[in-house]
Amino acid sequence: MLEVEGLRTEIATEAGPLWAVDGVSFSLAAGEVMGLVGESGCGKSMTALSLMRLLPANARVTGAAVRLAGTDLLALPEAAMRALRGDRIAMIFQDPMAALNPVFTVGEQIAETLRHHRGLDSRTAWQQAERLLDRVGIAEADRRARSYPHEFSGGMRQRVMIAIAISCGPDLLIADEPTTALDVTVEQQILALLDELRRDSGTAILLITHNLALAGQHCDRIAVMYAGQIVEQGPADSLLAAPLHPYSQGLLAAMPRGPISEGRIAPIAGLPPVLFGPRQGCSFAPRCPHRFAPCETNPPGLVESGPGRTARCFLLEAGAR
Amino acid sequence: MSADMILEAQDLTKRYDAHGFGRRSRSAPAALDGVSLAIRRGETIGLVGESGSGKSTLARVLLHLTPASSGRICFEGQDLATLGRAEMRRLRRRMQIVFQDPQASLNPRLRVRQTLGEAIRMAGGDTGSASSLTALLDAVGLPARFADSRPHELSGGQRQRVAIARALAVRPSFIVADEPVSALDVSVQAQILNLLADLRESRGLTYLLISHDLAVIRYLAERIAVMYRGRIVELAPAARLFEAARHPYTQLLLASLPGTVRRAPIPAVEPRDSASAGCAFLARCPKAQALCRQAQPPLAALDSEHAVACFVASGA
Repeated sequence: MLEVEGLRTEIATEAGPLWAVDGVSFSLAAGEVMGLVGESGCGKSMTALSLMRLLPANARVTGAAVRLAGTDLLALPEAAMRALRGDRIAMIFQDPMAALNPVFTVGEQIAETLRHHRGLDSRTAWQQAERLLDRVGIAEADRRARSYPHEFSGGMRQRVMIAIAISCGPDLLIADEPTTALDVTVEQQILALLDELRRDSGTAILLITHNLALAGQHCDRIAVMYAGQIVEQGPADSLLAAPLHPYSQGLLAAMPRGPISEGRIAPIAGLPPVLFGPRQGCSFAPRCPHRFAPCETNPPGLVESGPGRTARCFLLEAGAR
Repeated sequence: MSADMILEAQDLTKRYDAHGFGRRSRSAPAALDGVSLAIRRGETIGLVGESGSGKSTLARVLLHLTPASSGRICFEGQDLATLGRAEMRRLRRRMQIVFQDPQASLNPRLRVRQTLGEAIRMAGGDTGSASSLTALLDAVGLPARFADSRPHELSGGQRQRVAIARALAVRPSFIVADEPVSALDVSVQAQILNLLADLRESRGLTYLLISHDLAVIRYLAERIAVMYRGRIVELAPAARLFEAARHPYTQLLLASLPGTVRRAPIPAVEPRDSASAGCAFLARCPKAQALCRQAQPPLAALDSEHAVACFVASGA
């Protein structure tokens, strides 16, 4: 469904071009959920915005092929891309209040998408909007469609965003930290809803999150990002059970899972680098407990290790040899 | 007040006036509704609940940063209501707070040296003394060279260390940590949690740790209080709460933890806004009975360690 090859995105800064995304490749099948996991600044949101071609003015994609069901998204003229957005690809964000228009009712905002992309008349679009609200679990959808965003709770607003996103039955839904602003019980409801969507309509979902445990629970595959690169990719279960890359291992070891009396969590020392230009060695080397000579001089390539699993680490290359 | 309690709160209520548009003001639901809590010297008590449940309001009221509408607070044997200004100022040094966002709680124009120097002076220490400053920085794991940095030059984790150092400067016995790691990345979060654990050991501190994240609470807290709509609905030792939670809301929270096997789907009920005589959790509760509609269940002790505010769980 979606194929991304060697995506590279630069942000122009006063200090020179910042390599926010540096050679990200992955593919996503219909009905599949992939988690893109990493800490702030690792490039996960920039990856999503690059795919959507919604980058801020000072950022640009410098190299890649992004194919959605065979169409090269990066080669499309802007008008064609605009027609695709909200129709074939949709995106939901962390803060639904910022994404919804406060002066229109939620029904109008869903209907607008349908009128625009599907050419439905107002009446049909409105009826469809009510059905969509019902579909995303909002009770009394006919009455609620006439409400304004401020009358909704955070969880309900995110449901409205999802209703808008799925209104045209997209091939791909990008969800960028969709539950980070929500309470834990609501978080699970929203993720269950996304899960239902991909099962029922075969929508591929790219779930961007900082929470590895959450990705493990709701994704088929996980890609861990660090300093603009995917450093490890694999099926969610096996990746969480036995992470290959020292960074993925570090992330897991840093998450509290029980009382301190049963074991201290281990922080990852240091801070992630900001990349201005080609990397010298492995970007994680300065924080890595396993680093050895090759890590300082060459950036490691992706090494296959086990079914469907790859990681960017010299330890694996050494092991493979 | 028993000797091993550092703080005892009785029947705290806090109402904020809600002024609607126009002349009529609506009576808002109480942010705190009859909360009683006793905190033992040296323990870490965790406070969980969703946004708007009253966690932060409780913290502010306990520290007397916001006056309670009614109720009584005793800290280290003194009733806060009876204290004069000067006495309150003195007592305030014994209780400190660390907030979620150190960016907002640190003065952006002051260097670390000035921020901490101010706090050291408050404690009656020598501001010029480099040793007390270095000792403070050392206690929170910051190299001495950071003394001349301003907040914007520090990372989120380093800023939170400065905020903790400032709280420690006045040598408190009780620290409220209000979502201290929620704004931090996982790897940095681990550093701050371990720092809080080490300081608790070395300085014999008592913590009230507030978080929406049960995993964070479980890591540090010995006892856990669960809040819902301005009330404590369950209070138990941490291990007990994780093994045998009795309140349906606590059970729902536990089921929402990533990595737990879900037994039943989480009901997608949105909170209602109308106040009624019944239990606040009624609309979302899978176990509600007739009695739950008629009265608000009180927090009742199941045994000496475990209390729950639920008619069904307490077998009423």
